[in-house]
Order: sequence, then structure tokens, then C-alpha cells
Amino acid sequence: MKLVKANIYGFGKWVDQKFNFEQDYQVIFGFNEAGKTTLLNFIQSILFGFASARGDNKYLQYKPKNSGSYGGELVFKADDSSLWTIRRIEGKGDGDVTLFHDDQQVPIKLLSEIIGNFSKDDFENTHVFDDKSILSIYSLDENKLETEVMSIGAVGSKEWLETAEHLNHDAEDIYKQRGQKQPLVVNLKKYDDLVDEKSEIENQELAYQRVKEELDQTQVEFDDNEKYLKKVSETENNLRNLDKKWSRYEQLQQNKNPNGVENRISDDDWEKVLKANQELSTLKETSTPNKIADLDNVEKNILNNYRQNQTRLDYIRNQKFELQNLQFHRDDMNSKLLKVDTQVDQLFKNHPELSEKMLPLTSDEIDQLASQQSKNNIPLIICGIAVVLAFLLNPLRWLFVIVAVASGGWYWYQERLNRTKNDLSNYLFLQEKGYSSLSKEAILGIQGTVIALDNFHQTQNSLIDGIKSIEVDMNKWRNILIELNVLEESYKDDNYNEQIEKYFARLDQIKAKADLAEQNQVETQKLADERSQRLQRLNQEIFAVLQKYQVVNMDDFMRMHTRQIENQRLTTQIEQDKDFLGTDLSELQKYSSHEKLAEELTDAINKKTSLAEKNNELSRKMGSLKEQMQQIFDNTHYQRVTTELAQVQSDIIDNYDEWLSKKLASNWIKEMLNTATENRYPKMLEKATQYFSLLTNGHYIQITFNKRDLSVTSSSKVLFDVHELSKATTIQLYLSLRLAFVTEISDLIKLPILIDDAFVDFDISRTENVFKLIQEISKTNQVIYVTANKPQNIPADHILELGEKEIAKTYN
Amino acid sequence: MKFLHAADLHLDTPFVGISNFSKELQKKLRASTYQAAQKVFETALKEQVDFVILAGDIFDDTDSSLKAQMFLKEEFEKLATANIKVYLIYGNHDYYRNNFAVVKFPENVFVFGQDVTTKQFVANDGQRIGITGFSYHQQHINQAVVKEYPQRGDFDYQIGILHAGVGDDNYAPFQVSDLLQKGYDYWALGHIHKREILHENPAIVYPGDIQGRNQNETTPKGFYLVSVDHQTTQLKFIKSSIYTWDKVILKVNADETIDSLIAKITDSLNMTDTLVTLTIDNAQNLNEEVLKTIKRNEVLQHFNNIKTPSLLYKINLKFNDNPQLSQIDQKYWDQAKDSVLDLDKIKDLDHKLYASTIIRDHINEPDFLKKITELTRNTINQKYTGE
Repeated sequence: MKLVKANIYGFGKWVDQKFNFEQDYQVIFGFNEAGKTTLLNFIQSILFGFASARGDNKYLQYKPKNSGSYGGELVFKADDSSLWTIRRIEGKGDGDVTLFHDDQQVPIKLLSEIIGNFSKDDFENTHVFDDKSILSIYSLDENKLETEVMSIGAVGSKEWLETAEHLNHDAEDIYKQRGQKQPLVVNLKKYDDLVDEKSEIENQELAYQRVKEELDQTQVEFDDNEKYLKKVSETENNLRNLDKKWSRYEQLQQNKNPNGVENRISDDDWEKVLKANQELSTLKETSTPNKIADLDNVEKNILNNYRQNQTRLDYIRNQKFELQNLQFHRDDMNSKLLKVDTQVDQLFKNHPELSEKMLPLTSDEIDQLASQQSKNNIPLIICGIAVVLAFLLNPLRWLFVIVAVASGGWYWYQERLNRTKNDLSNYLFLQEKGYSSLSKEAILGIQGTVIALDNFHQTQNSLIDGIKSIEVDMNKWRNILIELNVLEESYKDDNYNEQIEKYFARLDQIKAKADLAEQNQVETQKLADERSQRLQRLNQEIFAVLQKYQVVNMDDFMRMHTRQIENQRLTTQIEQDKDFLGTDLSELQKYSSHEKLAEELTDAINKKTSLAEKNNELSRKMGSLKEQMQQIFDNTHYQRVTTELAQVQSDIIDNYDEWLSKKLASNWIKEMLNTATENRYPKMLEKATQYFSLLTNGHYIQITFNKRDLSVTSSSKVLFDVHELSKATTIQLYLSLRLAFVTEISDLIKLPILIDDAFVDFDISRTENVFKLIQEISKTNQVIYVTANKPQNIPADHILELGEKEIAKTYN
Repeated sequence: MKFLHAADLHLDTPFVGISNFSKELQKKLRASTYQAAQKVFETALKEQVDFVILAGDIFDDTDSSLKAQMFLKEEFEKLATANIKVYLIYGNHDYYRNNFAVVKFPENVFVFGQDVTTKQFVANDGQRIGITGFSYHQQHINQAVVKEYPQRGDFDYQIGILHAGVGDDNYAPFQVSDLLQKGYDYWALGHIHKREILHENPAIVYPGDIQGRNQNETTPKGFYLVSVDHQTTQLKFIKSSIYTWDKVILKVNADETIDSLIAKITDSLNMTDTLVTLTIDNAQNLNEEVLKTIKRNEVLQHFNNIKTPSLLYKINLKFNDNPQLSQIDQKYWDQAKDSVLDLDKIKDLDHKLYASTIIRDHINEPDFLKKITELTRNTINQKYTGE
């Protein structure tokens, strides 16, 4: 296919432009920004589609700014000279394509007649040589460059190599032989660890089996032990029972049945005796019911005393008032005496001149002193007597008092008369009678007083005498009273009357009592007789019974009865004991002593304790074993490890598959490139050598491929391996090979090679060699070459100069 | 006469890749093997079968089967009260070991020993039944034990129980012809988790496992109720699986957005109690943002957080061959594939990895190469179209 025409509706700066192309090669010359690259992009876009508006490609869009229509047509001439027209305009995706074959619209799938199975990338990788592809080669290091050079034998080898590298790299992210943290490495390690962990966990069944066996064995042991324990427990209980009964047993052993020699006291007899005895003691207690009426000794003495001295005592009783009178007299005199004493004292008080020594003057004396001094003492005596009588004689008391006062008054009158005739020193008697220092008038004056005093003294003396005589009488009475036991010697007072009354009151009481006692005496006697009779009968009754039982007295009888009761009790006890012991009796009899039994019991207890302990221990053990079994059964550890193992196993396979597919993809790509190289290089070498020679200005004359190895020969016949070449030369070699590759696959695809000033940095760029190269390539493949360098030695029809003039010309 | 034929109960199977699910769901999944087994025994009781055949791999792991044993014991006791017998063999997963079987199964259970044995039994309808089988006493059995099975005996109906794979050298290898040659009426097989009837009349049957255990064990799982009437054997499949694993392929195109994709996925999650492994086909069509969102697991997480009839288990991306991918070089791609995707070369790729039992076993799986080739191609496609 040769590109013969391009008809641009609108693409970048080109609007409504038409270009014609030569069928072998077309050099398009223009300065920068003349639209050379746009033209080449137009060709690619119509062939393979517009660049999408998204992503990195959007700057490759050439939507015209000033025109509505985007796209255009390319016309290809086939080998059979038929024309294929591809029209691509703006549309969904990479644009709407219409295909014409000799002006006939044909299905789009026939596009493969032109572009084969090439994609845009394929085309770019093989047929397009521009700054971009050259620069990417420049950026490679020498090793990679060499690899690139060695891989040109396939379409897009450079990209494929990169892809292979990427895949290899990706694979190594999953696994690396000496890696540490790559997932597959990690998972393999984890798997090993889990396997180890799993192997350390005891096999569940084994463990279960083991514990179960142990449990079964323990169960048997436990059952045996329990049986034994039960037996020992029974023994222990029996022994304990026997031990409890031992004391009764012992008692039974000691309690021999009391012999029945003694005559047993019948209940009737016992009751009888008891009743009799009771009555007996009651009677004894109530033996003196009227003792209270008896006189005591004192009373008896008093009564006896009275009876002996009845006459005298009765007399005393009659004289009781006499005695009282005596007493009264004495007391009266005493009080008179006291009164007189007071009067005397009053006299002295009223008459300080008065003295005790003063005596009444006789009438003579008074007369002496006073002329008519008659001595008359009669009134005084009368007075005195009257006074005395006044005291003594009660019924005439008032008469005597009047007499005494009248006589006293009279006496006092006389005395006053006497005192008036006073004559002192002349009278001796005055001295004698104690009036020494007094005047005659005083003496006479005081005479009344002295007389009074004298009277008083006389009264006093008579009173004292009276008292004395009464006292004597009283004493006589006292002695009599004492003698008759009315008074007690110790009685010091003299209130005899009272004492006598008291005595007789008591005597009367005693006498009454004595009378009563005498009266009761008869009845009491009668009762006493009855009682003694009863007592006798009771005693006889008791005695009869005692006799019956050959007992001497009641005490013995009581003892005998007590003994019999005790025996009865014992007999009952023995019966009870026997009942209580029952069949155990024979068991108990097997033991000679309690110690033996106790010993056996202790043994049994000890045995039981140890068995019970063992029982507990075994029971605990079983519990723990059952728990262990449950734990083994519930063991989630194992489950977890198993699950994790399954998961990690699955992860390992996933990792491995991913790693392997990447690794294999990488290898596959490399192998494909190698295979292609091996197959294509030999065929490419002739052309490549020509191109290489031209590109190096004849510096190298030969490329050889031997056993997957490439080498070049210089004009000076020196052989170089690729890695010995300079970078620039290697790139020239690379381009030569790529150009040769296009021609090599030209039997599969025939599209123009598009070169966009690709050799601008090479030595040949300004020489005619570059055009020789173009011409050389064009021998097998159409070339469209755009350049900013003015072409030389090129036929003018092969040159299209971009510029307004030329374009205008082209239009024509 | 009626009996049940179940195999590969794999009680206590640990489920993987479910850590994203809610704890409750994880628990339910772990319990699902038990529930499925319960279904088997319930059916036995309901259908009043004569006996139940369990053709091996009853426990997933003999080392930790105590819970499973207790469970079985209880279930077997229920069967015993209904006078239903159980004939079971142990397989490669639960091969018999000395310390095994702590739990004593009731009298109605017969466990075949290491040597091929035939048990006689008179069914309720008076048919004399012969059941022949053996249990694994080691994980791998290389010899064709089926050769030791006796020729048909004097029975009205004879059943062979066998835990093995067709031509699988590790697991008592056999060929269908070996079985046919014995003249039995029914072959109760176990080991292969995929339900399959290898032969009809006489029936040679893999009932498959009773509950799918991973994303590859798709379709509803169960067991067979076998009725024998006048020498005619009738099979009825009964579903027991609680959860069904399913694979859903979703084709996507270039204008797919996250929202439209989620809507499509939601539509495909329409079956209850189903765990879906979703493959997004033509993932190369998806734009980069959508692709990144899927790769960041955001879509999966979205579905883990919402309630849908089916549960989304995993999302795979499938990048298809770009038809434009350099057909120029196709023959070199093909040549290179043959030399790179080679089992021996893969084994030699990394000795350390090949030393791992898991990886070695994985590599030795029958369709490993096919799967890894697909994955590799997918990777290349992804690299080519994606980045």
C-alpha cells in the first residue's frame, strides 16, 4: 500500500488541505511550526483513530479551532493499483470511519487490508521514527540498550522488554529467593511455623483416648474403693453402736438378779405401815393441845406468894389509898417547904438589912424599945397553927387560911407598933438577937419581918419534920411491899400505889388464868387418854407387820422396803438392758473388754478415714479428668491452627500462581523476543548493514549475528561486540536494525515509514547520506520524511516544501 | 429396598478466603458441612431407607475429628432407633489410624477394615444384600485394590463401596471396566467431589461431596437416594448443600462505569445462599479508573457490606487476547510459549519453591498447566492493554 493522498478537513492548523505523496518516498521540508509533525499525526490518526480526549493523549488531539469538521481522508494505492480511501471524521471513541475501495464504500473490517492487525502502538513502535523514540533510546543505560538492540526482531520490542522487566519486578514483589518480606516468602514461613505448631499440639484423639482411659481406670478404682469404703463404714457404724451400748452391757454384766430370799413386802402391808406410821407421827406432834392455858413459873410463884400472904396483901390492897395519902402529904409538904423557902428568899430580897441571925424581939424587949410594947405571940401561933392546919386539914383549909391571915395580920400590926418605940444601944438583947447595926426604928420596923422570918423558919422546921415522919412510914411500907414481893428491891421510886395496882392487876389476871386452867384440865385428860390408846393400837399394828417381816423397827422396815424397791428397779433395768442390747448382746459378748472393742473401732475409723480420703482424691481426679476431656474436646487451638493452615495454604497457592504467571509472562515475552530475533536477524542483516554503513558515514561495514550474539565490523576490519561500541554508534546500530525490521515485516504489513527529523543529531543529518538512506529504504518501503533541513540531490517532485506558496501551488 | 449413597462429607472443613465475610457468615459456612450431613441422616429417617452408605472422607482431618465423631455417633444412634444400618469406609482424608475412633459407634454401624470384606444383610423387603468394601489405612494407596474385590456372590443385590479415582495412581486406581467385570449391581464411589454417574446399569456413581468446600466445587451438592425394585435401580439426587458455589462471568465493555458495573454485578447476585466467584471478562475494555477501583478491592468490599441474595466471594479480571496483538509475531509468541510454559521448566524455575509440598502438589494437579497458562496470558494481556 502506498499513501498517495491526504485530504485534511480539519486537523490542527490544517484546514481543507490536500497533499499528494510520491509512492517511493516523499521528503516534506518546512521550518519549525510549519505543521510537519501535525501532518504525520494526521496520517496516523486517520489510520488508527483519533487520540482520545482523556488521559495523557489529549495533547495529541488536533481538533481544529476554526473549523467545524475534524478529520479527513487518506488515499492508498494497492499493488493492484486499486485505490483505498479511508475517511475518518469526528465521532464516538476514536472517530467515525468510512472505507471506500475504488469509490465503493466497503465494510470497515476491510481496513485490515491496509493496516493488517496493527494497532496504533504497533505502528508507532515499528514505522514511526521521531524525537520521542530516539530520545527514549538515549535514556537507556548501556546494558539495556544492548538488550534493546538484541530484541528488535519483534514488534514493539522495546515496550515488550519494558513490560517483561516490569513483570519480573512485580513477580519479585511476590517472591524472591533470598527475600524476607515478600508475601509468598512470609506465607511459606508461616506455613512451616503452623505445621510446627500443629505437630506440637497433641493429637486430639490420642489425647482424648489417653484421658478417657485414665478416667475409666480411675472410675474402676473409685468404684472399688467406694465398695470397700461402704463396707468399712458399715463395720464402723456397727462398732460405734456396740461401743455406745457397752456401758449398758457392762451394767447388765454387773447387775446380777437380786435373790428373792427376803420376804417381799406386800404393797398392802407397806401401805398399811406407812399409813399407820404417818398417823402415829401426826398424833405425836399434836400431843399437848391446851398447854397455852398453863401458868408459867413466875405466875405460879406470884399466885403462891399471894396465897401465902393473902391477908397481908389484901390489907395492902385496902391500904392502898392510905399510902397514897401519905405520899400526897409528903409531896404537899415538900411543895409548902419550897414555897416557904421562896418566901424567905423574898424577905431577904425585900429587906436587905435583914439577916439570918435576927430573932424576934420579945414583947418586953419591944416594950423596952417602945413603951407599949406588948408581946403577943398568940396571933402568930394561931397563924402558924392555922397555916399548918390549912395544909393538913383539907375540908377546913379555907377557914385555917383566913385564921392564919387574920392572925398574921394582927401579929404584923402589933409588930409595927413595937418598932416605933426603938431604942438601940441600950438594949443588950439587940446585940444578942442580931440587931447590932440597926436603928431602933429599923429594928422595930423590921420586927414584923423578923417575926415573919422566924415564923417561916418554924414552918420550915415543922414541915421538914412532917416530911421526915412520912418518909419513915413510907419506908416501912416499902419494906413490907418488898417482903410481899409487890415491889422489887430494885425499885427506887416511891410510887407504891401505882406498883400495887399493877401487881394486883397482874395477880387478877393470873388468878383468872389459873381458874381457866383448872377448868380445862379435865377435858385435856380425856383427850390424852384417847390418844394414847390410839397410839398403842397403831404401834401394835406396825409391830404386827414388822413382826411379819422379821424386822426389829421401822427404820429397818424402811430400809428393807427401799432395798426391795431398788431390786425391783434393777430387775426392770436388766430387762430393759436386755431388750436394748437385743442381738448385739452376742456381739458384745465376743469382746473380753471395752478396750478391745475401742481398739477395733479406732482401727475401723482410721481405715474409713483413709478410704474416704482416697475416695475424695479419686473423685477429684475424675473431675479433673472429665474437665480435661472437655477441654480436649473443645480445643479451639487446634481448630484455629487447622483453619489458619488451610488459609495460608490457599494463600501460598494464590501467591505462587500470581508470582508464576508474572514470571512466566516475563519469560514468555523475552523468549518471544529472542525467538523473533533469532529468526529475523539473519534476514535483516543485509539491509541493516547498508543502513548502518550509511548512518555511520561508512565507518562500519558489516553486522554479523552469530549464536544470539551481534557484532559489527569497522571499515578497518576490526570486529566489535555491541557492548564495545559507543552509545551513539549503538543507537545508530539500533536504528539500522529497526529500519531493517520494518522492511523485514513488509511482507506482513505495508505502510509508509514516517520519519520525523529523526537523524537530526547524527553526523549524517546534514549530509546527503541521509537522503541516500531514505532512497535506500524506499526501495522496499514507502518513506515519508519530514525535515527542517533543506534536502539536497533530491528530485524536485519528491520534495514538498511547506509554506503558503507551496501549499497554494499544491492546491493548483 | 432403599438406601442412601453419600460420600466425602468432609466434616470440619476449614473454609478459606472468607475472612472478609461477617463473623456470622463465617460461622455458618464452617457449620455447613455438618448441616449438609444432617440433611443426609434426616433424609434416611424420612425415607425409611434400609441403610446408608458413606463412601469415605467422612472427616476432613482425622487428627481433629472428635467433634465430628461425636456428631456422627449421635446421628447414627438416631438411625439405630429407626433400624437403619450404616456401612462406612474411610478414605484418604480420614484413613484409619490405631488411635482413631475414640468414639464408639452404635451397633448399627459397620466400618469396613483394611482388607476387602463383604457384609451380608437382608433388607426389609427380604432381598439379600451383599456389600463389599475396604477402608484406607494410609493416605495413598497405589495398588488397584479393586482387583481384590470378589466376583459377584450369591446375593439378590450386590454393592461395591470404593474410595478411589479413575486411573489415579495415588488412590486405589481403577477403570470402569474393572468394576463392570465384577458383576455387581451398584458401585458406591467416593473421592471425586464432582457428581458423576460413570455408568448406568449397573450404576457406577460418584455422588460428589455433600457441600461445596471451595470456589471450584460449584453446583448444588448432595447425595443419592437409591431405590431398587425388581432388580431395577433408580437414582434420585437430593441436594444437601447449604451454600452453593457458583462462577459467574460478566462481559464488560469500554463505556462501563463503576456504577454500571456494580449494577450488573448486583443483577448477577440473584441466587440465595450462593457464593459467587465473579469473572469480569474483557477487562481490557474497562477504563483505568474502573480497573483500579476493582484492583483496590473496593468493589468486593462494597458487596461485602451490603446484602444481596448471593454472596460475592471473589472478583477475577480476565484480560483477553487483543486480536490486534501483533499477529506479525504470533508464531514467535507460540514458539516461545511452548518453551516457557513447560511443566519441567516451571518446576526448575525455583527449587526452593518446588521443595514446598503445597506448591509441588499444586504443580502436580492435572490441569495446573492449563490454568497457569491462562493466568499468564491474562497477565500479558493485562500488561499489554492496561499499563
